[in-house]
Amino acid sequence: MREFLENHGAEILRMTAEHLAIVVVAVIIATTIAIPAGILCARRSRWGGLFLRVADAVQTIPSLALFGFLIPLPFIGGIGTRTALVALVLYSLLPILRNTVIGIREVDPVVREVAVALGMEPRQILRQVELPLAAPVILGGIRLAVVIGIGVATIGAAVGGGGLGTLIFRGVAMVDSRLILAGAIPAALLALIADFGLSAIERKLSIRSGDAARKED
Amino acid sequence: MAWPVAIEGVSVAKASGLILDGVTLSVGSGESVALIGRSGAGKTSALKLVNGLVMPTSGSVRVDEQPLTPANLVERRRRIGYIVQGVGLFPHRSVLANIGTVPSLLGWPAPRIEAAARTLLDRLEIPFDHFAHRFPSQLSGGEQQRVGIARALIFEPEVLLCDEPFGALDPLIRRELQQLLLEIRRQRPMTMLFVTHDLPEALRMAGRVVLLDAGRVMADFAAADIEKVSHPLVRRFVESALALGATHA
Repeated sequence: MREFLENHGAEILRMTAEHLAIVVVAVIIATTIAIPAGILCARRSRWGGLFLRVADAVQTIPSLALFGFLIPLPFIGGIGTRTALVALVLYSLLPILRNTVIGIREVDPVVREVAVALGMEPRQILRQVELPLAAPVILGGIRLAVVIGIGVATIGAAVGGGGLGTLIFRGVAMVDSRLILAGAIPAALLALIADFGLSAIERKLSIRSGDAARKED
Repeated sequence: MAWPVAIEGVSVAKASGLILDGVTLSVGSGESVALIGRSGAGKTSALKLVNGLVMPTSGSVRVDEQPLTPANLVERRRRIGYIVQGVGLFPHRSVLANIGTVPSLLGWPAPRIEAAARTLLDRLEIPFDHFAHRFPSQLSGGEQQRVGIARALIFEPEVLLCDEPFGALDPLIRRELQQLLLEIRRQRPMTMLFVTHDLPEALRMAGRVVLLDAGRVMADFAAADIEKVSHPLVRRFVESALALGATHA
């Protein structure tokens, strides 16, 4: 075991970093697309329905099949990290988009009306009222995207996407369960840590936006 | 000089039908008018005409002798106080930040906001130092409504719109807040429209009462003349108020 770690420790660390990097980049890209799109969808229900249906459809495609579709595409496809990144962005869109729409639509209509009545302009209402109140729900979507992303990125190794999946696939090919675990354990840990950390931030935001009863002091 | 309000021949049509039907109502500078009526009579819609939350399908609304237009709406709203039953405090903002909403929009410096909030909260019997940095979810219903009142009054509005502001409060707090609001108005006159379905409250809060039913003005009388009004619906309001009073006595 020690010998294995001595031989592969550096590689495992490098792969973990690579894995995390691709997920983070994908989620950042997806967030910059999905939040503005979600705001638009929350305002215009027809657009909202359309966007959500497309994102929903993408989400239902099995990940290996999605990679299969992407590989032959020019510019965004091919074998390598780019294809994995594109697939991860597509998978991350739905949870963030859906939660942005829900978060904004769930803002108490009385609160929104008072914001209008007090002379806030639409942009001020969005920035000062709707987005802060929707923040915990939006963050919930981001958390889901990160957790799904960590899983999908593992499969991304099949199209040369790099990351911890590379170790798993190599382990399968070489029938070496230590190698498989060297990929699987850090991937699982990453997902758990991300879920735990982001949930904690989400709870903090919920308290700030008044979701939790805070009558204790 | 508090702004006069003039609603002239206003109808408001929604998909479900006419919400307001040819409503004409003028409220003089500094005058207080209570709008009473049954649920769905159009009281709230009539009130919301004044700050443009409801737009007339026909007819006109003039605030401070000027028609409300998309160009002047935001600026007007920042000088019209609005208090509602649901309170509508921003749950993610502290008491101080809630109260400072309009002053911040108007660009007041922070020390001025804090000083004004302190005076007003103390007046409303919410000790500033104890409450300023709390969040709405940490307050009782009565405390929340006091903060809602402070938020509507801090910028010294020309017009104050109240939509059943005390409807959800227990009778003791209700009475106390009515009294506080009356005192504040005595010191600084502002034009007030007060929606309620409670006749005694209407008579206490306003010098004039307007009865709405099915989107129309059915009666318009001085509060002092209540005994002389013969409109059957007004009589029914009086009788039910008397009956309730008898039950409570």
